[in-house]
Amino acid sequence: MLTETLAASPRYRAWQRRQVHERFTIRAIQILLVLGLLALWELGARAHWMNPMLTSYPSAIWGGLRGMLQEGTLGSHLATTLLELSISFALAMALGTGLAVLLWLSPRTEKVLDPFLVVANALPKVALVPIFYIWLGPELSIYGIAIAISVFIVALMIFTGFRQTDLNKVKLARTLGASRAQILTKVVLPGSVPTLIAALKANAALSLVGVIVGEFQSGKAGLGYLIVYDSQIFQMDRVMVSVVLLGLISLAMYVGIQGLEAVLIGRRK
Amino acid sequence: MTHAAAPPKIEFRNVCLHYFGRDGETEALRDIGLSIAAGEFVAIVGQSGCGKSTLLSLLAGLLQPTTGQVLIDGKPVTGPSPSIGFMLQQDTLFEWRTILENTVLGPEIRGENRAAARARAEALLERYGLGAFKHHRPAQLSGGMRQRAALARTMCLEPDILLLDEPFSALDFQTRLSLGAEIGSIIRNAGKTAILVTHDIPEAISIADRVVVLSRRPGRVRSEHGIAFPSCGATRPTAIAARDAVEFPALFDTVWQELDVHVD
Repeated sequence: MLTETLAASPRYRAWQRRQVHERFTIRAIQILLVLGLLALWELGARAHWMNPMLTSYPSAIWGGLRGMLQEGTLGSHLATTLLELSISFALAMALGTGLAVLLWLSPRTEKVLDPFLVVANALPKVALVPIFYIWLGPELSIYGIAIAISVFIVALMIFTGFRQTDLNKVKLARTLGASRAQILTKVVLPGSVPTLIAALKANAALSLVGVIVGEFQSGKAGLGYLIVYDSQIFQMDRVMVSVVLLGLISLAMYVGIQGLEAVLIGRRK
Repeated sequence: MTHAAAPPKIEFRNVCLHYFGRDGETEALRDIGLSIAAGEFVAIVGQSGCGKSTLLSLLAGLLQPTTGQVLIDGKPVTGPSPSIGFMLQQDTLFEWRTILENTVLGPEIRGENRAAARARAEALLERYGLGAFKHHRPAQLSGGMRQRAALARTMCLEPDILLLDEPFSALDFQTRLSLGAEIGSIIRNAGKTAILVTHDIPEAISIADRVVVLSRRPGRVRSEHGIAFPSCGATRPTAIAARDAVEFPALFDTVWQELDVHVD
């Protein structure tokens, strides 16, 4: 329905101010929560309520970061992980979407593959890490495990989204003489944009898990490699630096996908 | 009809249709014989599940009869035909397209000239009072406007035959009355052949030239009723005026009796 937008009345402006105030309050509580936890962590370690050797603490992590930056290798480790992540993420998305399209185009293939996909999806893929290491070697096994972890869930999510397409829209397209490929490109795919966004989010999280686990096993570089290496020499400050960087990477991916979603969904309103 | 030999626009010849499902075989239609002349507006009424919509799916080429023949211009229907426009109960506008983009969907799928289709679509939207909304999304329009946009999408195909599968039933009562009348007269004035499937007897009588009553499953043609309003003069009254015509109650009673509604 079209609604006339009224000129802002004083009551409306008061309501707007309350909304802004509420958003501000929530953000302020979030920041205070982070600062409070950091302060508690710092204090707890320095007062030896907990063992700083095991837990590290914020100022030590900061020091660890500065040390790693001075060595000058952190950037290349970060770049290695980001590269592996980008390639795995893109390939898992492409393969998963391709598999979903194949299943949708051929119902018989879908029925035949169904039990295999269920098993492949449920299998704990980290169990494959040593096998991939032997089969694919130290480099490729990282991509292998990252893709294996995310591709099946991406395919199943997208295929489920395809199947939830409004059947009346499909019927309409059929009365217009649309081929199955046209139904896919004009009805099913554009109707599945919300599902594709959800699959991107799941894929981002799972690909990162895969890359790090892959690096644990076989990496010669990357944040996963750094975490294992530094923990073996008991440098918890440096381990925490890598963990914080991983947190920032997932945050950045989430924000990026969120922005994409706002653009794509916003165009429909 | 000047040519006795000319085939009717639409003909069902001894059409039977069986659905096969996991739970067994369902006889949906039995021995349907029906013929519709060019320019005629026929309403098909019957209770839920009597196979009314199945008749339209057969005409649209979405289903093939188990036995018998479905003919358009004397030729058997083998698949979706460009001469047919189908309006469904839901407007099924694509929410990711603007109203104009929705309107050109048919020509786009059929690979027709885009500029010509767009010009036709704009003219149709203008005529149906949607000119100012062509760049809006469906979500911004009311139910009646959406259904008018769906009509524009159908008419943009320039079909000879319109199949209307309860296109007004999802609307509120007032919109339903006025939009039914409006769309009825648009189709009549354009000289199209139309089949309206509905379970709303007053709607069928007020819009159609002929009402066909289907029996309960398996659907058979139970009776046919020519609709005329001599009291309103030589020209057909509007659908709204028809509801006030003196002939209306008797027509309603006849169809109602034939429909044989039991509440069981």
